[in-house]
Amino acid sequence: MAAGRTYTTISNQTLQSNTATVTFSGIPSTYTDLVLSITGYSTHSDDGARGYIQFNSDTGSNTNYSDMFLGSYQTSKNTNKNTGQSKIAYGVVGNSSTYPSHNEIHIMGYTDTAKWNFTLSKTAKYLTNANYGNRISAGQWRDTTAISSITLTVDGSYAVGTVFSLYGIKAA
Amino acid sequence: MAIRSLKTASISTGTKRSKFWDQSAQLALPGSYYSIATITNTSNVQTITFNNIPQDYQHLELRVLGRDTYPNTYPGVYANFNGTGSGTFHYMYGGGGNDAGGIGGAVSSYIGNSAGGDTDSRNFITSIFRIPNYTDSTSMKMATHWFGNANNTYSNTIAYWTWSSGSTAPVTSILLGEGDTNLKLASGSTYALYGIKGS
Repeated sequence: MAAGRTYTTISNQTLQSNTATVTFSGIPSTYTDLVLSITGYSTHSDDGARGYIQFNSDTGSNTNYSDMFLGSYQTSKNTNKNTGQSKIAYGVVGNSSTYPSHNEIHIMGYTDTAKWNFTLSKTAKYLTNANYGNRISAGQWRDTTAISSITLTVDGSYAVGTVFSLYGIKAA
Repeated sequence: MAIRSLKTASISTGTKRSKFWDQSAQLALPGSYYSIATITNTSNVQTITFNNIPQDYQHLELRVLGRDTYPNTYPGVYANFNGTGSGTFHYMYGGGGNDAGGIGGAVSSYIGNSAGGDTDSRNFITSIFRIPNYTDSTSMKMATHWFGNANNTYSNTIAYWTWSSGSTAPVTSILLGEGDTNLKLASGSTYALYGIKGS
């Protein structure tokens, strides 16, 4: 088996001010999977502020998105699904500047037009206010179009200093 | 490629603020990650196997977009290392909606779920397996399996799974498949194996 080095940084950016919407556009189609890393917090008043992802400017005029999660809430597990959505909730961003959250989002087979598009993500988050903590999530965009842009939003705005890193992984 | 922000601010390519950890340090993957081989099913098959896995890495990662011919929503997937199928699994899962989720485990090579054949043919489950320290000959070999599918019509599943093979032998082959001979891993499923360097 011949091995090829992969996992390439496509973009690595830090917010210089609070930002409601972040968009990656012109994503190269040369990889098999994308991995998006987000570390930071939201300006929202709620510790449970969630982050959202949309693709190719499909911003909610339809209900092609769905998501589900398994996570912790206070001292219990928490799971739910949301169908017929206008965006995928990829995880919890929270609002703590002291304990910023980390979200890792895998977008697999993003150029495979025989399949819908899927996300698999996990949230690492300190239980500020004893509410929302770690979480794993799955999302689905019921569209087979290859992904060329990603739009990220959050309840509130992404706070200054939040770091966004996009990587590409190419299979042999 | 371009990155841009809308509405309130712009994103620069400047240095990271010191209040956050460095992203590359957190992930520790770029630059140490190698594609070994990919299997794409061109027909329905009972099993898929990676053989002669190089012993050059610290860890292995298997990234799957999987689907199954099982006539229900979420069929089980089984694993073995080096041709030996036994072991013990433990899991936590969530079903969403009316399914409160749970935890469990058993003595078995059952390693998680795939997407079933009764769903739309464009629907696949996303799975990431990790096999740490796979060349070490002193510790029990194990795999973690993180997977999910937020299907819009049928029941859903998301889970984090751990499977111990019950053997200390270095992993030179990995098999995934169906225990039921009437079932298949569906055409179009992809299995991409990567090696991760330790240093």
